[in-house]
Amino acid sequence: MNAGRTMFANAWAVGVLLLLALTSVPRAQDVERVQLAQTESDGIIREARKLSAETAPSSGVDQLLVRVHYQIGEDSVETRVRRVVRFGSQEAIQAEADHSIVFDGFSDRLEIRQAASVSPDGSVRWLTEKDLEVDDYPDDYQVYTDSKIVSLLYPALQEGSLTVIDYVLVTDLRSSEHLWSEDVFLQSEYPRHRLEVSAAWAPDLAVQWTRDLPFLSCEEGMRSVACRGEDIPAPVIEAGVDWYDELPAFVITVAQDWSDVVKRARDAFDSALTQREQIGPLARSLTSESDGEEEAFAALFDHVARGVRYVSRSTAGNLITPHAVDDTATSRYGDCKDKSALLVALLQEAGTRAWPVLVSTERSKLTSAPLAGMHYFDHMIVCARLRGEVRCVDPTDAYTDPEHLTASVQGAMALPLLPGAQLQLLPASTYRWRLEVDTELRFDEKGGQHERQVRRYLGEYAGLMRAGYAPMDVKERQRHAEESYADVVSSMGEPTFTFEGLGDLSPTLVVSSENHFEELVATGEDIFYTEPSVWIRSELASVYPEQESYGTSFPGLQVTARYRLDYGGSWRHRFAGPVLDLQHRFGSFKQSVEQHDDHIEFTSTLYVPARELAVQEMESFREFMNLFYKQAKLRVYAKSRQ
Amino acid sequence: MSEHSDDSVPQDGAPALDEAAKSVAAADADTGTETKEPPKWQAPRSWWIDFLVLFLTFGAYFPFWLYARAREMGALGREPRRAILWFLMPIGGPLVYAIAVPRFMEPYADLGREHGVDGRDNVRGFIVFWMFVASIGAAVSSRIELPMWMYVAIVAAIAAGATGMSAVVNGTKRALPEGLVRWRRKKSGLGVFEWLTVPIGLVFWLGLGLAILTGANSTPLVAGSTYEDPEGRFAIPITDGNWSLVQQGFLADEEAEVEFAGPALTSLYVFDYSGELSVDEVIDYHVQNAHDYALTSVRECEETRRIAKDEVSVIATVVCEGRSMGDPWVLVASVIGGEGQVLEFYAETTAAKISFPTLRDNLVALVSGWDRP
Repeated sequence: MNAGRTMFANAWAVGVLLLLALTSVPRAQDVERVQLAQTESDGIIREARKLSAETAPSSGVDQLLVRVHYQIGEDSVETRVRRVVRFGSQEAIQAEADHSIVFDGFSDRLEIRQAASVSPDGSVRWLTEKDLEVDDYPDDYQVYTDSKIVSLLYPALQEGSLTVIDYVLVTDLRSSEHLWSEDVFLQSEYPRHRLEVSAAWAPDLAVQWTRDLPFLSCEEGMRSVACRGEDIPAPVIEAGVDWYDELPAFVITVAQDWSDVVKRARDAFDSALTQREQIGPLARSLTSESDGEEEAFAALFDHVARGVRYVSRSTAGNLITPHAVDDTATSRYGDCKDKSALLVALLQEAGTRAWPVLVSTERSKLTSAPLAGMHYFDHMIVCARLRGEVRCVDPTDAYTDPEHLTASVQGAMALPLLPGAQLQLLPASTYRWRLEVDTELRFDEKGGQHERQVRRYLGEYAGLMRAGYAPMDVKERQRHAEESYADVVSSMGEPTFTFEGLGDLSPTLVVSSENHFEELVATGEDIFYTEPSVWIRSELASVYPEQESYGTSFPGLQVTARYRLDYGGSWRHRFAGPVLDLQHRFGSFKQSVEQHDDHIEFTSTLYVPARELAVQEMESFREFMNLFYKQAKLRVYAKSRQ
Repeated sequence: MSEHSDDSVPQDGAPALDEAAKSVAAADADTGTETKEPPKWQAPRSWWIDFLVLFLTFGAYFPFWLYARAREMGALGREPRRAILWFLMPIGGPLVYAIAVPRFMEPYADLGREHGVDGRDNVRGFIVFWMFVASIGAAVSSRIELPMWMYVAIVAAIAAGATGMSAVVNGTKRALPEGLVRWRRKKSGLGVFEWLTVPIGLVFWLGLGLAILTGANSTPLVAGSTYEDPEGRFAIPITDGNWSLVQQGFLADEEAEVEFAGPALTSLYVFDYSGELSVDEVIDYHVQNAHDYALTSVRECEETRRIAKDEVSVIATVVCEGRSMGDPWVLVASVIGGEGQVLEFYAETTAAKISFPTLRDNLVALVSGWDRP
């Protein structure tokens, strides 16, 4: 993997996706919103024992029962969950025994009616208050929510033990900004022997639920539905899989269509635009030196993305409703919806049509949202019409230039908050990762080499790398650049680095390096060696799709590498190759060679456009990647002049 | 009638050799030095021996013969003196022949006239014309690839012309007075260096024989058709009608999967290096070998790669160009590698200058155009 991009991508995921996902959870008033009733009824124990007796034992975790029932009223939704799990080994207990429930401390009330562990010999240990841990959900840096987490610490578990829980979560719809919707994923990482999902709703409500799901058979009543599935296998677990896209889910929602979602979200959004006395002067000030709409757009985006720091105050009242744009303009902090509101207001003031867009950062397939709902979305960006074309930007991204959409949200499922809008995918670049590398190597009289290298990261790739490098101090940046260089190029020598474009939103980030290698070859000997095209290989490796059982979205890769080798008068050139003209249905790889008596120049261009890869294509795509990887090399033959 | 009639030449020409010999002997006596021996000349021999040797050696004997006669004439103090230039004369073009052949024969004519032998001007004129025409044929054959029978005809024509020259020379030799020269060897004998031409001739004839045998045992490949490997490993589109399929195992390298034959004695082979060599190793071998091979002077090697039809193999083709023994030369090696299988389609050839570009282009197109089935 490309170490730099991996690290920065991870940091980005933590810094944005996780933070934004939590914006949908309200503030807790007090811990009394959690109650442990513990009726100690034998009913659940008997059911657990019966299920265990009916199910063949295994050495892992078996979800013997997951039962979810929604009682949907006009003012509240009561979600009752019963869960029975069996642990077949100490390893399974160590890994998965403790159960946690995350809930909204403001609009939700959690009642744990029964919770116990059942030993293989039949003894029952009912949980007491001391077996519960209630805490604020661990908010990330600069994120403040009402989320709470309850952890149930089941006592006396041993091989063959069962855990049972029966709880009710009551959501007060009057205090919630959401249009209620939920989903239950039919598969979990462990086999489910029985899954029951049911719902009943009040007479005046119209509730939608997904039909024709695998594993489940449903019976529909007048105002109810009851579904049941048995022996549902665990999915094949692999890294890098977009689970929200891949796993079937029972979705239930009170939204009739997407226009309901748009209206609810847009109303909340527009409420933040009412206080806007400061927006006009601010917009005029920011665009006073701009020449045309494009420059004005860039100036306003720069201000919101870089001039307004990321702080999420997503507590009650501001779950989906941005803070007033005047407040955000004054405080100069905000989260995705605050920044989006400010940017939309500024753009409107500058005469540019702009609108907010809800984003589901975990989904990139429209099929993963079969019914309209708000629960899919965890992020907001802004799109605008510029010179007749739609331009989308992420105002929480302080590092990507205004002509490119942040890499991590490209192709994500989105809902523009415009009348009549439908669910769609955000635009994605044909080549998300674009890199140009110029390398000059010159032999000295002792057979050592002096290397000068210039890397240019383009567009959203520049944004990602800038997000990684810009916050670092000089020493840390040098250390990281050295590590990255050592991973890709060489651990020899003492390379020095310079950076261009770190302190602005330019579309290019330049990393230059110089290094010297001591006496690599004897000047009296001929040179006949093969050298890998290290940056092309590194980039190919970084996007290599590992999934065996799932398809994936390939992000698109474009690398241009120019390589000049100067013999420094010690050798006479004989041969350099190969010339490449590799044309494949998945991409192309060309390499030309200029041969001179005293130096050679290679120019290599790799194009692998973005595409959706079905699982059936994964093997052939990997073969294609392997083929290009192997061919990314330079071969040189030169005779010593001595 | 030339003013230099047989009768008039001795009076005004170069001093008669016998008189010169006498005057040299007298001078030796005056100075008390030992009288010099007459120079040794190869004994005259029958024309058919010369023709046979010339023809059987594919004309390779001709420069040796010229060299020997030039040395003989030089030993008498007459032109042509620089024997090595006469050795190189046959590689000259028609213009060289037009000037050199009469100049070569002129001293013999003069010598004959001095000793009452007919100068045979008409015969000499015909021989000069014949050799001029034959040299045109040779010049054409050195630039354009010709059918085999035309090569043989041109060789025979030069051999016949050279035989004519030899007949005139031998006629003159027979007319020389006793004591002017000493005869060396038997009349029909060959000198040691002349025997050297025999293995050269054998190589030529062996190559010709192999080509004839190969051609006789090959099947023409139709342009536009495709040769399919029986084991389904590769397919070779036949790009033009110059190629034929040589039967496997007959006159072919036993290691080869298949052998093709083409113009200018070109042979093309497919080898299977699976499990032995990688694509890079096969290419590197050819590149390094081409640059370091003593008989070639490589101007440039270029390697190109493309993806095979199966989408998992790469086809690497290296083309090295240069000169081999004076003629343009090309080596083409194309390697299909992937899935543990490494197959090479290989050929190298050299050809006459004008024909070479077409032959090279056709060869490169054929060899580099193969693919998976």
